[in-house]
Amino acid sequence: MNVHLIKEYEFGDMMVQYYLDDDTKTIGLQLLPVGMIPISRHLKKQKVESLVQLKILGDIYPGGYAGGGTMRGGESTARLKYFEQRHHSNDAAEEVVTLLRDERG
Amino acid sequence: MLQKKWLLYCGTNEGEGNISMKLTYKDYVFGNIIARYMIEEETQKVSLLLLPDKTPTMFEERRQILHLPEFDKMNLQFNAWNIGNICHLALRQHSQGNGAGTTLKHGPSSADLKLSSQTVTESAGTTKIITTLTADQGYSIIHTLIYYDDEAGFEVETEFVNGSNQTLTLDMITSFSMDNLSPYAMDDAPNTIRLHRCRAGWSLEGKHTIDPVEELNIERSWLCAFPEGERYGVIGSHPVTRFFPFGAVEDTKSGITWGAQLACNSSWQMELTRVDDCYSFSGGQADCEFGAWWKDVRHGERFKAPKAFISVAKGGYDEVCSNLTSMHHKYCDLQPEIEQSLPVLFNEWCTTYGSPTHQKIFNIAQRLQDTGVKVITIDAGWTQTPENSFGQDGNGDWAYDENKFPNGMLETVRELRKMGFLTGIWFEFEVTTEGARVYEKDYDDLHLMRNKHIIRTGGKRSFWDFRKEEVTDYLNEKVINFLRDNEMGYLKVDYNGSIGIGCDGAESLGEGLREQMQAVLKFFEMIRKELPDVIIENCASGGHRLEPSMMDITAMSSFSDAHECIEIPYIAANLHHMILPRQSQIWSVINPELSQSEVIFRLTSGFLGRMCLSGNIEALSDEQMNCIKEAIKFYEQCKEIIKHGRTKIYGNCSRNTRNLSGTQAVLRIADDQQEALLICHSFKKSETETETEMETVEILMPAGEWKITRWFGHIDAVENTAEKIFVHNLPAGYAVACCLEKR
Repeated sequence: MNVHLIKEYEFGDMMVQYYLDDDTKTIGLQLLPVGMIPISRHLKKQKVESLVQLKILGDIYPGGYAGGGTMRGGESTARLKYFEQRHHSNDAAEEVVTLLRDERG
Repeated sequence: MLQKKWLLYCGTNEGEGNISMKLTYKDYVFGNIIARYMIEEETQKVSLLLLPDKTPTMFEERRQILHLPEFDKMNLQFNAWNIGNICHLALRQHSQGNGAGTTLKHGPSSADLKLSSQTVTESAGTTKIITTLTADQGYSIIHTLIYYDDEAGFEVETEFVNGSNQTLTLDMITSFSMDNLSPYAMDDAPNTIRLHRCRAGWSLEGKHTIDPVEELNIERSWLCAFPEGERYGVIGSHPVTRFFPFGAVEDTKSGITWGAQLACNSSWQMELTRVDDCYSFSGGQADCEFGAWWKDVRHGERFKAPKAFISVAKGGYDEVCSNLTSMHHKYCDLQPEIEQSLPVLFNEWCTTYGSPTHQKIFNIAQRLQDTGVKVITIDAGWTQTPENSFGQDGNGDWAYDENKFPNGMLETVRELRKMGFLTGIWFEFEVTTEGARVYEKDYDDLHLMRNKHIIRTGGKRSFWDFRKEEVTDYLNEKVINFLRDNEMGYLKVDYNGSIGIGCDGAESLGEGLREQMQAVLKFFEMIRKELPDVIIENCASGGHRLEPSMMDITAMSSFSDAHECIEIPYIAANLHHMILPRQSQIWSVINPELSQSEVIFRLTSGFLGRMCLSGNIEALSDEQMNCIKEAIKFYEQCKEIIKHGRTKIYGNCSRNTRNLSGTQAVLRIADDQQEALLICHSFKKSETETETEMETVEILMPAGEWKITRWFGHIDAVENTAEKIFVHNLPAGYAVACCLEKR
């Protein structure tokens, strides 16, 4: 597990953090109140959960016990790799756009 | 012996009191329970109510009309309650009820059902009340309430018969429905009604939760414009995942609880709904909205809903669960003769972890001689499986590994028999896994698909399509003939994946799943028929199939995959409310590095059900082996209480299964009330904290003077007084069990 913080943004009293697992290229999102420092991910050996979950027909379902319970964490999500992130802002809003790609296209 | 005298009363209220509806009651008495059928004369609607005694119900005094200022001004009136239905169904050809999205109950399909006949039959200790309701359109419901002498509950069978001249599509049908709850309330019973459920999860089986209707937010609203309800259940072929197929509704004011269990090995649901002052508690096959299930029933065809078990008790969760679980003894009694003595088991999974060999099994058997163990089971890994797969890969071809068992399995079985043991063997025959020949593409047509894609779960597990004869023929050869040819005495059936929402091959994904799981059940019946002396264990990643349809056809079930955990006795005790301890196989994994108190802790857990030993038994010290022998001796002396009794759990345990603190004391009173078994465990505060002094646990014994006659473990913590037992400061990680007799 090789996880690091790739970018953080402060919006009002909230901190938005994006973590990347360099091995799997999975990117995750964490929201925190500004000033509240969480326990280190390395200390907790905390894996990154993808900021998007999806299940494509035909892909493998998640672990044996998940059937009927959840479609999170299956093959389709595992195939999503971080590609790039863009930050836009104008007078009305700020936008963080994260692009993930599946090599199958 | 309970006195049975059915049809106590048949009368009418003649519209007395506040009731403007004219109702006919038919009361049938079975043991301590009255089964009351209420028939509304005008509509000929029928509902069923179970009453625990002759305590008067409040129907006559109950308000009939809701007086609402808004509508009084317009001279409109609304009923405060109606009698409900013995069966709720939703047909696609009809408009749906007002609750669609929340519940398919309370719609026109069930409202059209009118009483057509009611008959009572009796034979060999069984009484059946068969109630037929028919709608003008021609379809009928046959509702059969079955009572077996001396039981404290009923089995319910509900069948839909399409006598109309067209195909009708069932979107929902209940297996049972208990309406008019609570019959002891004059009104909408505020702050009185609560729903008991039992949660589940992997190594999290059996947690009891209670939700007042006010917390579920389904209490009465001012007009009741829409039905409200709590619908819960499980989707897939692991029918015990988030919940057990169970529920109970308690009227805390009268102290009465109604409970139900479903026998369903596929998707199921239960619902506590309300359309007026009263609550309706029902359950059955997961419906169109919850389980993507619908069923076309052609003209002249029938559909039988999953069987249900229902009961009522004076008391709460403990009492009604005991009534329900006790109804399964009759099915346990049909299991192989050796099962009746609850033999102690050994399973080598936690010894070799997927790598059994003839020599290892032989060595285990030698070590277990003269301990009292009767069955040794060879778990996963006896087949030709890839290395480091824990015996999980390459399954489906079912060829034994010649390197591990060079002279075949029969040699191992016969060697063990010479030493006095029955041999068991592990299969997961409903699936194929990566690495097996039959997992490959050539066999796709014989596997389940969803939306034309093979269902693969957990990366490498697919499911045989049991609806295909080619599949069952193949498994007949690979499983049944194998067991017979190799003289196996015990079959452990594992099942480590859920199919999920359903599969192709029927009118709906849910119906595909139901058909598949019915075909699986048929295969189990075939094993039972072909090999009547083989003990079958129902395991599904531990306790994922602890439901009546699977449990009633098998001897016992793996209680959980909690193999070597501190929470084993917590889970095992909670399961007493859902399954019989005589069917609950509990791991007692003993390894040489364990301290004496840890050995005792794990062995004492085994007294909560069927003791199943495992671990590195060969390396144990003589002292540890002697401890095992002492435990088995104790188990043999108290097994009749394990087999037939009623359980109450005392203590001050915390609720986080992985981080338990406090002391648990499980009291099991034998059915004859003359003996009792007390099993106590103390848990650590958490995995990181140190031991703390434990609070005293007080256990109230039934009337009489009780004396401790035998014990195993840390007996110094137990104080026995005339009416009570106290467990004082049982140290964390320690355990004690004692047998008591009434003087």
